[in-house]
This record gives sequence, structure tokens and C-alpha cells, in this order.
Amino acid sequence: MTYYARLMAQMDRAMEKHPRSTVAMAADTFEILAAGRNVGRVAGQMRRKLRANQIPVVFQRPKKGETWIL
Amino acid sequence: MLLRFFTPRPQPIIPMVVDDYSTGRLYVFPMLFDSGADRTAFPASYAAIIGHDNKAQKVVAVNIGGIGGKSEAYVHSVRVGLLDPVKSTAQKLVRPWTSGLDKALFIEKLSTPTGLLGRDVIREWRRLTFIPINNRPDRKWEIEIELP
Repeated sequence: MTYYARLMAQMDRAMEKHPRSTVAMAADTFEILAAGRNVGRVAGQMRRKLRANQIPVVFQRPKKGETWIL
Repeated sequence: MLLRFFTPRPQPIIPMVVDDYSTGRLYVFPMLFDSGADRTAFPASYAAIIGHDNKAQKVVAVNIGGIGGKSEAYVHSVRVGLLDPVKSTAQKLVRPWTSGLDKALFIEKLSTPTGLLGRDVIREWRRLTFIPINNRPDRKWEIEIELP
């Protein structure tokens, strides 16, 4: 399994666990660094936990049943 | 060079590397391919994630229009890049391509849970193909990007 496939699976898992949150996850360990509805607070908490050279993956789950027109 | 991505989402979304080259920090954000968008954009609230302040004096604000009407948008210095879906590892995110564009919009009225990858970036590639997948529960789209 490639890293990309693992990343997609871990993002899906985190989105199911935190369905209404912005989630910040470490790209190397897939540890959840921060999750919450307030993006500013998530950013602060993420920065405090982030180690040097660690890259965060930041995402939200699209609302179920929502129709997107862009 | 041809890169093949898949996404389990109903929308064509892939994780991309966002480079805040003013600090040297890298981030990964999911980005939606949006051929209707002139410019690559993020929700305004995402500026906080990269440690930028939309209301800072040096930040340029512009007015933009879209399906949600008119909105204010803030211009921040970031570059988007592709994450190699085969060569990347947990220890090293391989970026086979980074955009020549060094700015993106952060839009007040953009409420998508992803960034939007606009035509300003898409046009830097040689080819972009969306392939719907209908027989796998874990994959809804395959996306092929041919790099110049």
C-alpha cells in the first residue's frame, strides 16, 4: 500500500471521527494534532504540537448530502 | 511525466502541498479541481492555519465574484504543488511539480471544506483527465495529470 493510499484512508478515518471539525493531522505519523470547529483555535493548537519539520495535513469532512455547485 | 491520483470522494479532490515560502513551512490541504475558477483559492479562515493574518496591513484585499455573489478575498503568498502518489513516503513527501504562481486568494464567502484549484494552476500542466470509477467503493475518480 502506498503512502498516498494510507494518507487518504487516514484522512477518511479522521473525518468520520471528527465529522464537524477542521482536523490537523501529522503527515508522517497520522497523529491528530488538533480538531475543532474554530479554525483559529485548531491552528494555534496545531502549531503548539507540531515538531520542527513536521508537515500538517489540514482538512474537513464535506457535509453529507450536500450538493456542490462551483 | 504522468501522475495518477485516486480519490474516494464524490468530488475530484486530491491532497496537495501548499508551500508558505515566506516561512519555509509546508502544509497539505485537499484541493478540488475547479475548471470554473479563474484563480486558485482557499476559504479565508485557512489563512490562520498557515499563520497569516487577513487583516494585516501588508495583505492586499480584492473583490471577487462567484456563485455565492461578491466577496472580499485576501492575497497571500503561497505556492501549491503536487504530492507524488507513488514515490512519497511518511518520511518524505515528494513534490514532482510546484506551481510557478506564488499567490492565492483566501475568500471570505468560500465555505467549501477544501481549497479550489483554479485554471491559473491547471493551465501550467500539459493535460488533465478525470476518469470516473463506478466499480470500487474506495475510489470514485482517477485523475491523470501530465506534467510539461
